Amino acid sequence: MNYRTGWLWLLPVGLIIVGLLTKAEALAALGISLVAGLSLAGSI
Amino acid sequence: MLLPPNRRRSLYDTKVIAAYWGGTTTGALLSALSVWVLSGFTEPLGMRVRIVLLLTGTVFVWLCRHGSLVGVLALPEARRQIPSQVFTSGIYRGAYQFGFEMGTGVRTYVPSIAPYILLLTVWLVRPTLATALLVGCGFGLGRAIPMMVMMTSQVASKDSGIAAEFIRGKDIYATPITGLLVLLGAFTLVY
Repeated sequence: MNYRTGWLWLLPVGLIIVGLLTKAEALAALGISLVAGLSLAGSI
Repeated sequence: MLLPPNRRRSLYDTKVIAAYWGGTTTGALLSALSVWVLSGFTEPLGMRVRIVLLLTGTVFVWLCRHGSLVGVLALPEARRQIPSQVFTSGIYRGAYQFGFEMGTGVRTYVPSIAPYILLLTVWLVRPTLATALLVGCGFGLGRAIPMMVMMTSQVASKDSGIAAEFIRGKDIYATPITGLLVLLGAFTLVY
């Protein structure tokens, strides 16, 4: 992660926060799965 | 390497990435569905027990990966790189198979704890089938995004280093932060 590509994390983190605030299960599920997928970015 | 470095991208590269994305999504859907089916065994458990198990499981995964259980207990992962033989049947089919193995999450190295917490969440929270499928699609997309970044950034050579830095993911804070984010989101599925 760095400041130029850090924006990629805004989408999943935003989805998780909105999912938490609105109790929208689908948004949170999409957010956490995106985070988990992105967390493996170093293992290509 | 799916994408040769230092050349202008073409429709050919886009098709390779699309095949890779299809593979990561298919593999992730397979894993998510398998765990969702197994989650039926947790049906008799109450919600408090599920939450305790989720927290305990997260701590256990952390200890196995970064704590005192390193070298004592190994988390399920294939300690190998995906073999280059997957590309013997053509670049598109190879990209799909490569993506599939990456998407399953257990067919190559898994350096982060976040995917394990995600699987624990699907197993213990037992979301609806639609949510489990969404989890699979999201993980597949998340697995493919770095390759998409690589493709778009290498159009302008000055950005290639930035993409490489992102894809290497050497930030020591990345693993615990992503793990906590998944755990945080998991509680939305619980309540």
